[in-house]
Amino acid sequence: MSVPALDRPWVVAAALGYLAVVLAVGAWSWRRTRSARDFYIAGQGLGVVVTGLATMSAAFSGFVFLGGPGLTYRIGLGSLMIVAPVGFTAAMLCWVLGKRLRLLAGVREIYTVPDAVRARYGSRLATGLAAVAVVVGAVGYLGAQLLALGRAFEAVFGTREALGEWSLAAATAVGLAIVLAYSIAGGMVAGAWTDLIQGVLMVVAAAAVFIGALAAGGGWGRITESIAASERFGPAFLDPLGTVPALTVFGFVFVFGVGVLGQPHMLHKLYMLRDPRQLRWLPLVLGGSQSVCLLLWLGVGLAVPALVAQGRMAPLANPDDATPAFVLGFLPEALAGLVIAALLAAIMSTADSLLNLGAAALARDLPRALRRGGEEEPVRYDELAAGRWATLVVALAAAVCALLYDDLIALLGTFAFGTFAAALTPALAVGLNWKRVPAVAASASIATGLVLNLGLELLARQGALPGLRLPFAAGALPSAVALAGSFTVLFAVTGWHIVRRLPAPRLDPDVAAVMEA
Amino acid sequence: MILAALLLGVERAAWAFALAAAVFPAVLIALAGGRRARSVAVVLAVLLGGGAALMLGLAGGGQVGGLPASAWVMFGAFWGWPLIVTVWAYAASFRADQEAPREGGGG
Repeated sequence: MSVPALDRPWVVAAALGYLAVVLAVGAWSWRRTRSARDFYIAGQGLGVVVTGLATMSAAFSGFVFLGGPGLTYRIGLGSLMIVAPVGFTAAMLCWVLGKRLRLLAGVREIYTVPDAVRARYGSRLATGLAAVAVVVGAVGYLGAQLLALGRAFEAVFGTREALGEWSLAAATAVGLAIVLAYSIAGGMVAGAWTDLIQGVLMVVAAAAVFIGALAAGGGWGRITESIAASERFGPAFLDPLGTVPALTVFGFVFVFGVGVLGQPHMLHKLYMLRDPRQLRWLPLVLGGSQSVCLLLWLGVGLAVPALVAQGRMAPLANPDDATPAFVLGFLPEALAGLVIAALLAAIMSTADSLLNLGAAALARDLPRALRRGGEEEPVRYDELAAGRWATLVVALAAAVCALLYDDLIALLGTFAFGTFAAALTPALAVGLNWKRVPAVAASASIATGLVLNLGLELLARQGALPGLRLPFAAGALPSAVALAGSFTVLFAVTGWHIVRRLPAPRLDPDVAAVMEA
Repeated sequence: MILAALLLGVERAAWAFALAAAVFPAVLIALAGGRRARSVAVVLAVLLGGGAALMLGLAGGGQVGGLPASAWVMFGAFWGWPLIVTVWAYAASFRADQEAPREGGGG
């Protein structure tokens, strides 16, 4: 699916205009990024609307805008259980972690999630493992964004016909260069402000696409009738449990509804809030904007199968083409331009956050965890410059991951989301609310989540040993098994400590005060 | 329980997993919040757990407005009602939290 660029001047103009704006924000932010604090947490000076929209746009990415409708095309309405939990995740995030993390950032020098792990547990091992998890997850998640960015560029600029098999690599490289330019220049100052622009664009475009999708498909009734009557899709497509096992569908709820508490690109934004009292309205801004963006997944996810069933669109060779095929083929050109800009925004806003996180883990968290002198040992290098170099390293690793991965964007996104979820959720969500969790339980839980998620994913994808299969029920998501395993280990080790009457963990007074607040 | 259900993979395990996975977010809210948050957690557990049970029970069942009833349950129990309840409860309990910090009742 590709459209020659000159046939769609408004679409190309909107895409180029949007890219020019984010590059301008990067240049503007260069002068305002004077310290590592500015680079990593935007000087801790954002209001609740900017923070909420930046969190939404970091969370909702190419995975939701491109991968989501693609996954719906493949497995039906059950795929929506990935995003339906946004009904409760925003408030849950604030209840379980929002206040604790923001207050911690007020009493300690905390820029990253591994920083919070170090403050809570005082363990170099737990901090180092958390940093490794962030690097692995960031590379995978960024890989999914780059894959989405490459596919979006291919669709907008029509490179598939011109460049053939090199098209995806070339389109991905150009997208990566633009994200790198503003991320390295402006760090999180650029990231937060571009996230705001991107968040507004995404909300407006999602609402417009939902209306456009209903109109293009002939209205709600005709859309559902066409899908139900077609041989290709059938009534099971519309039943959340019609085409995929219950273990998969509720695995989505478990991984995406609970695992949101381990997503560093979302948690990181909580540090940037100017005043902790503004947290009161964060669920409204975050949950409300996520709910509007969910409409794009729902609208395109239903309209494209309906159009295929009605014979007005050719069946998709690659399900990830669902959004660009619909937008470029069925929306008015000016609206298509806006949506393509929003699509690029969705992808790039997540990409810049992940670049920043991966860079922070490489340049700051891992070296700190490895330093024998701990907190007292002075930093002997320029953290700001190291952060900028680390950004480049993470980006290149993610580009290699994207080009080697041969599957749907949503599946790479699910693996990466699962890595963050399984490794970090129990240690943060339980550990920051229960003082009895010892450092050894956190380390064991992080290591279990990381190794299980990575190991099960590799096992599921390996073809060298056909007899070697996943050791659990068909339909169970590897990420769900890893997350459940990680929680089990955390509770088991903590329980063992309590039963053996081992001394309760000693918390620093400021950290204890934050946990009691 | 969740891990056991995933590893066993029998019909009843799918039910057990669905209910446990759906209710688990409410458990975390109860662990983290104060008295008001625990009240919300109970409401949320009923919504999510009840929604999961209804979805499983209605799978392959009748249609409402062109969609299977289980799809409407998915939208209502996992998205619409939880959004209204939790956003309202968080904002409402935040004031109480400021007045009585040790209660920890919201954010």
